Amino acid sequence: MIIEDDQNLQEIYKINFEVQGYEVDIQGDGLSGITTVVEKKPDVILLDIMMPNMDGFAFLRAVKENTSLKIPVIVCSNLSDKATYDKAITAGAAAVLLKVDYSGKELVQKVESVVSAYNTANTGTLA
Amino acid sequence: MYSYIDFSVACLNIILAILLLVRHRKKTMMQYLAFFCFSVGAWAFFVAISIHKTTPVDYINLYSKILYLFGNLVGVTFLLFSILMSEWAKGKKKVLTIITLAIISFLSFLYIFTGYVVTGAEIKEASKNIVVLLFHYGPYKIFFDVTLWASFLVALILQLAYVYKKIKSPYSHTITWYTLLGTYTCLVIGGFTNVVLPIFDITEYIWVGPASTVIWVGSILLGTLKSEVFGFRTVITELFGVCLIIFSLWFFIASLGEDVFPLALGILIFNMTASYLSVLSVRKEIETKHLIETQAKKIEEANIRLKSLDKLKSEFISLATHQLRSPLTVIKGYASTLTDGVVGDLTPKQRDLVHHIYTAATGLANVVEDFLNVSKIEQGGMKYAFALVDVREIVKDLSSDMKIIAEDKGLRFESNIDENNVYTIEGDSTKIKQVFLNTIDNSIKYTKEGFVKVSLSQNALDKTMKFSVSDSGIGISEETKQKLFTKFGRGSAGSTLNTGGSGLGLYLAQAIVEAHKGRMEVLSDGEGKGATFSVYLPLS
Repeated sequence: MIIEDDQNLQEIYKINFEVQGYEVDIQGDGLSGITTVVEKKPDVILLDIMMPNMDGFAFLRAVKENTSLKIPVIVCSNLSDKATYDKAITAGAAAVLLKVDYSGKELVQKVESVVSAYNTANTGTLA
Repeated sequence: MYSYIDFSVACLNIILAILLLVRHRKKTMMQYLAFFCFSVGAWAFFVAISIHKTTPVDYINLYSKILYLFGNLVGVTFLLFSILMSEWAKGKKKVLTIITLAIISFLSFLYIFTGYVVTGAEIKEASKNIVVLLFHYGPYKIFFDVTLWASFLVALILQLAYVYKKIKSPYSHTITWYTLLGTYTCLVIGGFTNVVLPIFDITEYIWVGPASTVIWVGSILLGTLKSEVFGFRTVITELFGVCLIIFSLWFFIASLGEDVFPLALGILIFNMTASYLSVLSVRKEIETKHLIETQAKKIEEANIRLKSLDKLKSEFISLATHQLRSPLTVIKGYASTLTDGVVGDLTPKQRDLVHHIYTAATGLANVVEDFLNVSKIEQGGMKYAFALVDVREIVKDLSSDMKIIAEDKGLRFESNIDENNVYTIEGDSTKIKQVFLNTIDNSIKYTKEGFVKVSLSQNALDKTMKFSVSDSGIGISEETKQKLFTKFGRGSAGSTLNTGGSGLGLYLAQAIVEAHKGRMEVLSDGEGKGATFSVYLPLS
């Protein structure tokens, strides 16, 4: 699931993930993300921070408090300050990525490595 | 014995009068307050001397007349003071002075040279502690009573009106309340014992009136102190000075005609000078203190403004960086999607062009990153995550990556990395890697042909490691070396080479290295002769 308000980025990510065989669901802000995450149960969530209606942090808080879902959430933002980083990690993000550093393909690769590390850590199985 | 009390109180009042005159020489209102004090003091003095045991009987008549004169003047001067305080007489100072002089002359004549009000006094009884007098009045004794009470009454009305209207005066209301309270308390006490009782021929208590004026003196001093917080030291210094002068004066007078006269004169002059100078210096000090306080307040306000400006600036930079990065992400996203053939293949030429778009966008993103870092450093907000870092690993990784880029450009890439020692430092691995990367990248950028050599070594003696990159590039002139590490400072040859970048790389690199307690060095034989950049860091 990709929670991102920039329509261009929505298209770029969707194309790149789908070409690798993933099923992609796009949500435009935290609010619609919250209402659909329980029903869709994605394997990973890519979360932007700066969004209207409900920002990334509010989404993270809402997921933590209202669901018992254990899904890796990767914060993808163009904010690079330490405060944002710390806040995201404390709120339970699996990783924090700076969007502008990655090309489409690189992002997919990075997400894949974060997810496998997360799954290893959480199920205790040897990859 | 009671006469001594009154003598002391008389002194007190006279000292206060002198103090007020010394301090507020230029303010007419305060001058009149001083006259009032003086009148009170003089009155107290003459009461004292009248009831004093050793006063010759012949003088008692005269002293009683003078006593009543000053008693009347007490009322008159207080009224004049209140008139000045209420600002009725604004601009009419000359008139007021003439009126004052006229009144004083008239009253002096009336009391001393005629018997219309008081004719004298006689001793009723004399005991160990006191001489009780019986006053003899003239036909117009009522004049005294009326003028005294009327003066105080009108004065009271004026003062209350002043407080009510809150006329802006340099003296705060504190002094007014204290004057009011002090004066009228004394008036009540003194009026009773010195005016009312004698009507019934009870004159044993006339010493109480003057003695009670100590309340009035105290209230004036308290009012002055309270309304001028810093005035405390000045008042004490002045008080001390005045007392010193009075005693020296007394000594001087007592020594007239004696051998110690020159000494007494010398002491008097010395004390007067010393007191004057010390009062001046204390005043100056207080003034300076005041000035410093005002300045400190101004600085505090300026500081608050600066802090909020700082905050605004960093918020702006945060926002700007984010807004610049968003479209760059989109450009890179689309460009890479095209070159990766995700939406269909491009011809090699097309792919090449689109890749340039990608590289340019990456370059711009780096520039934004540089600006952000520079502003962080300048605001002291650059945060480092120190940990134990294996520098050799970083250098090896970078070398293998940069080797490809260098060879792509047709350059020879060599690396000379010491495998025999430990290269652990305490530092921020991301930032150190950035510094090394920038250095190697610079060399490759500014070398058209030849080689780029990376080496890592250490100096066991001072426990430092040295990372250096040598190249056969365009070199650096002496004058360029000076401004190389400054912001936007590039070599002259460098500016003709369109190398992109922000011109901030070396400035940032040096800042990071210095934060790691290291230093950066550049060596070059001149333009066209290549260069060597070295980073020295302390080993942990």
